[in-house]
Amino acid sequence: MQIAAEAGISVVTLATAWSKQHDFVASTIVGASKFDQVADILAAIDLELSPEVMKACDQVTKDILYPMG
Amino acid sequence: MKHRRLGKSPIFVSDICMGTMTFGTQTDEKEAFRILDASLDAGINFFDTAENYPVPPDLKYGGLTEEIFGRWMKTKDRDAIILATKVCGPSHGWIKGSQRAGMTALDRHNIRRAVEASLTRLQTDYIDLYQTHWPDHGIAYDEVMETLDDLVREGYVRIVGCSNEDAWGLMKSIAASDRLGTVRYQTIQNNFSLNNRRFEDALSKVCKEEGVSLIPYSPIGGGVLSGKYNGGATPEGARFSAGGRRRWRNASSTKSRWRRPSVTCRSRPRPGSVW
Repeated sequence: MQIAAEAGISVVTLATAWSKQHDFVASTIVGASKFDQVADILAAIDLELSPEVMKACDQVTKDILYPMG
Repeated sequence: MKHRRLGKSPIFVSDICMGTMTFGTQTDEKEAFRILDASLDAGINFFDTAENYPVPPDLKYGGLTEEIFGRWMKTKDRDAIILATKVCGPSHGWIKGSQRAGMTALDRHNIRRAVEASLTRLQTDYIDLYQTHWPDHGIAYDEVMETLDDLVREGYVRIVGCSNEDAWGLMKSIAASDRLGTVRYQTIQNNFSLNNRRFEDALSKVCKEEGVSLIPYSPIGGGVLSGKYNGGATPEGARFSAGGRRRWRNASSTKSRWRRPSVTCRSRPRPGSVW
């Protein structure tokens, strides 16, 4: 959340943009159960995360491993 | 909005796809239409549903999401929409599909029944991307790929994909397709997010080498990455809040979907199963 705050975007926007930024990904499947959730997703449409932000994300996932193996 | 090719197929889609799995349970039809309208207006042309939806899967209302989507799509230009849906995998003890009395399977009979029912609910005569929702690793891929090939030749389906597949299964399916000369999976729809980067291991290599596209689901970990559950919060109406969690666990699985979170997990757990 700190990374998103520093980049001036919501963490939902950050996570969506991060997903799009992989060469093996064609289209990121998002979801909304409420209309109010759509705006943060759409904010990722033309967003490209900087190498610094991508690196900061990598550091977090290195520090906090996926708990389900 | 950027557009990208699905696998080696002729189909290009917006690089954001709108999912639908809560439409009919958590999200009513009116709200669903608002979400879909806003998505299409923003340039999203790619939509994903399944015969198994809405979640949690239940025989009582399975297929309702496709019905809702079909009614929405009727109000739009069908040609402007890339529609993806899925046939349920096998109903073994771990997960049970919400169709065909909970006895779904990936044989010719079930896949045909599934596509016919989906087309009826969706009120269309073709599906752009037809996916196997979860694999059956106890059978050969031959019958699956041959049946999917027939569906493409007959015009029911344009291209095919898999979901919740692993590297072994994807390679076996590609080998079967190449040997039989059938269509091959152009996409794989798996869980991939900042919370779950397992795809980066073996599957990302298979995708790159074989020209298969990942269309990742749960990019915000089912809401976990929004931060709304941080500090043990249980926001009302949210999927993993206490009541919702019980509801999910009891929905259709004979086993709990939930595993104890590891001590290194700062967020709440998410389902380890297949949506």
